Amino acid sequence: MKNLKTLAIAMMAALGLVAETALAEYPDKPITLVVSFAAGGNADIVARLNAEALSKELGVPVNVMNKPGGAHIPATMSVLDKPADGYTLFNWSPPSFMIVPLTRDVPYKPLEDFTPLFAGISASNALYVSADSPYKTFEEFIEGAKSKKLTIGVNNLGAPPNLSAVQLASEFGLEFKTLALKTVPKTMAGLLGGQVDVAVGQVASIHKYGDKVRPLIILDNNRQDFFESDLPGVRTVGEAVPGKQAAVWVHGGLAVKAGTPQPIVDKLLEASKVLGTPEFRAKVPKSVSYNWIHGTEAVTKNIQFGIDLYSPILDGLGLLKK
Amino acid sequence: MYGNLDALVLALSQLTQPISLALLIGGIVVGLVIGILPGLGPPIAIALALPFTFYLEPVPSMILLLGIYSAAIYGGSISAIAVGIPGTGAAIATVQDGHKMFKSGRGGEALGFSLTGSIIGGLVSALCLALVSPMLAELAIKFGPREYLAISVFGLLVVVRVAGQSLPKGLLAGALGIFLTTWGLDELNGTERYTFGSYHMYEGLPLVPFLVGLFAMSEVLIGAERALQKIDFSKESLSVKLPGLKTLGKMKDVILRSSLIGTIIGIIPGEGAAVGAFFAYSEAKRRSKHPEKFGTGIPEGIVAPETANNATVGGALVPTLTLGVPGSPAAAVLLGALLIQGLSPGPKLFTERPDLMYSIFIGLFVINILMVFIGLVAIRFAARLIMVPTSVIVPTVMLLCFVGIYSVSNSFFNVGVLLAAGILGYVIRKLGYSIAPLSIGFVLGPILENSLRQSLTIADGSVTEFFNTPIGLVIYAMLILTILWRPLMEWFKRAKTN
Amino acid sequence: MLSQRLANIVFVIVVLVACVWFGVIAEGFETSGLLASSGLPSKFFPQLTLGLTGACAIIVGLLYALRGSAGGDSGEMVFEEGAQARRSLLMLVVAIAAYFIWKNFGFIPMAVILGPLSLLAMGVRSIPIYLTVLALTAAVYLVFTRLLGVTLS
Repeated sequence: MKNLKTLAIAMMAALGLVAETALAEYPDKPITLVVSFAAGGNADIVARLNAEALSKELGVPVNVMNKPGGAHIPATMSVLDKPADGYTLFNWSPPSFMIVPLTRDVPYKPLEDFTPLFAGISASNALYVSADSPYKTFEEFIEGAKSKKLTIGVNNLGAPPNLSAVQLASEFGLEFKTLALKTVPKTMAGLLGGQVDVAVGQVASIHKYGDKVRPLIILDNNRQDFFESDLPGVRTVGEAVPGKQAAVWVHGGLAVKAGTPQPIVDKLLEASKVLGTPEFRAKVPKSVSYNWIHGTEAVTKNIQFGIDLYSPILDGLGLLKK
Repeated sequence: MYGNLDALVLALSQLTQPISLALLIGGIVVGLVIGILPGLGPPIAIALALPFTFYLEPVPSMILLLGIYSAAIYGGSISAIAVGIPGTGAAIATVQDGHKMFKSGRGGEALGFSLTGSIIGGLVSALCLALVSPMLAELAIKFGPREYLAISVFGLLVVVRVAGQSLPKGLLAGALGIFLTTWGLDELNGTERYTFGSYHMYEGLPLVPFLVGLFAMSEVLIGAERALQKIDFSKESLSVKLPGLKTLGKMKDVILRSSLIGTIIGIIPGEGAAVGAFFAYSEAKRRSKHPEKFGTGIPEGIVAPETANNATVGGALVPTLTLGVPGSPAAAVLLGALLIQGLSPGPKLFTERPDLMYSIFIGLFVINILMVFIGLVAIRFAARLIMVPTSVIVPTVMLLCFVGIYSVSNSFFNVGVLLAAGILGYVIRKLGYSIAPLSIGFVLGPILENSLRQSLTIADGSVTEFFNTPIGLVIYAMLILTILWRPLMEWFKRAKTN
Repeated sequence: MLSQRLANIVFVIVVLVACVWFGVIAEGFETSGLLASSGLPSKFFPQLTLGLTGACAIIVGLLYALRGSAGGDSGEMVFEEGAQARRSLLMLVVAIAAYFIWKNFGFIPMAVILGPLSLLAMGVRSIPIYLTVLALTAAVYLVFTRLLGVTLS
């Protein structure tokens, strides 16, 4: 049956009907934005803000569809199952575009199967303890973790916060009991509730918990300009102990299926320019970092940078797909 | 309490604006419709309305979303009672007695009980939220793997109580339900389990399609068997009756207990309305003088779960607002709405925006009151569904399930799960199994497995560390007491008479 | 038609075979890399619940084999008459057919065919019922596409 349909489409295409009308009128029906995270989290919120702004620019509804779970693969594949016509957008993130493809066999190749449009939401991880913890500084914490096996809270095993934690453990020769508490807010709540001794949160998590938690260190090597607005005066690992590696990279944005006609990609790129404006950034919640990169080429380079960064980390942890 | 009179006045003035009232009513109607439709539940209902809140102030947007949340949870019971199909997961415990009562010609009464129970549950939990949420938040934050494990073990007792006529059969269904949740990627280490080489299976068997299939598709097939039979009903059953104060007075213990159970289960992040409803149902059955009548269509079997599932709304808001940790999937979307408004739910929200907190408390009360009137209109129609021939209901419900499940994530795979679960449900129902233990097993399974394994990680080989959980020990003690209570009492009685 | 006793014993055997089969598959679960060392192995919980399911199945099977009933259904039949079995099985066929029609031809053809086909499967002859079901089909379509903004294709 599929063949019949394809045949009909092919005939129409031959008559020059499909291609031209599709291009001339794009977009003329609602667009779906697939998000591989559950509704309500940071990724979802930013995706919904993106959708709203894009919808205004394009003049058609942009509906967010959450498909969480399954190591982001069902969500990613659901985009590739649809035609490359610009009516299905994908909210890419480090797990779906880097970590998962690097660690297991997946039926897609991020940079070949997708055309990225922009990157916006980003995050850097930081190590937190609760305000009443005996560890006042990063050095005290390292001492403490060497003498006793501490429980560390991360969101999901294999996700960037977890990779931060394992990297920390291997760089400083520590051993942790790791608890995966599903989301970053739940990880931070686990810290307040005393289920974990130390938690990997994001630098912007501080805005929610204020003086109930104490940041110890930023799990990064290089200083980013937004650190100062979230965690003023807190050092990065690279600054505290030169030579030690600590870098995970979290960035996310939108992409369309590769093969989407260039005029449609251009239209989407044009429409998404508004997402980089200061007016739009003002709408993004304080607890989310936003780092704007626009254009297929620049974002592809950025994603490749992420892949190159993660590959050795994952290899060192024995997780890299062989 | 959390501020001053100014904040209260500000909250009231915001709530009494025409736009707030219009949003309240609109939210309740939309929530009710989505709740009634199988497949679409509260989180989706709230997510659908989320874009509208971008253009609203914080107070009106919260009112809109809370109205949708409460009404969607209540709406699920209407289809559960009138068609035997839970519109939301929250209503799966209501099907047993609700639908039996409906079919026995007491539909109007059954719908009246569920409306009343829902309202009272909603009001009690709103009261708890308003008065003691900081205290309750302390409780919520103490829930780690060991505490979840304790409550999940307690949940297994619920499986026993809804086992049906044969205990071994009930346990078989319960264990099967838990087993089916192990499919998909292992959450704790990413191992592929029973994925059969398909990436669709990576997320495991999806909850909503599975439950809707289990209940609705099996009901459709059973309905098809008797499609041509005439249903006898008296004219009286068409009119909706709200229970009188006398009836409610008799049930006040059930109502109060279910409200509290619902509120507490709601507070615990990750435990949803379905669990609260089942716990309340099982507790009502345990305390009842005639537990054998549960499942045959009695008012307590409707009131207990319906009170509890609406009580989870207020409960779920406690950790959401005070800790920034959502108490339920629906509350997660609500949290997102607050973040979009530029607010950061967490320990600081109470002091920063007392007027918002007041608006939420008062708003919840108003929502529950308005829900009485809007609910009455809806159930007046629902009670008449008994006049609709089964042959009309069967294909329509099937289409509704198809569309409802598909629209959640545009996935044919999920429709396939719906069909497969329907066949499973039909087969075991025909063979005299109850599907309630299977569904509760399916809801509890992931929490049970993950909390057990994480507790073992924490304990790191030490038994004392494994049980080093005051809350968990209280739950275990309650569990032992619940099991031994009756035998102990009987033993005492016998000792006395001797 | 078909006694509960026989049907249940057959079901128990199917469940036991399935338990063994799934249990064997679980032996092959592989965890890669560093995460493998964390806590209980992935196969533990599936095998535990399979064991419980199997144990219950054996008890149920024994009850039926020795006592002839479990939960007071002795002498009962699965279907009261053959026509019932036929209607529900035909309905199931219609449901599965609808799924494939939807997947291959789109939503509207499926929705239009589903109602009449299921009524035929149930042996309904009254024309007003056919019309009512079609009207309700249209209503469901409109509620989802117009009110809830869902794209059905």
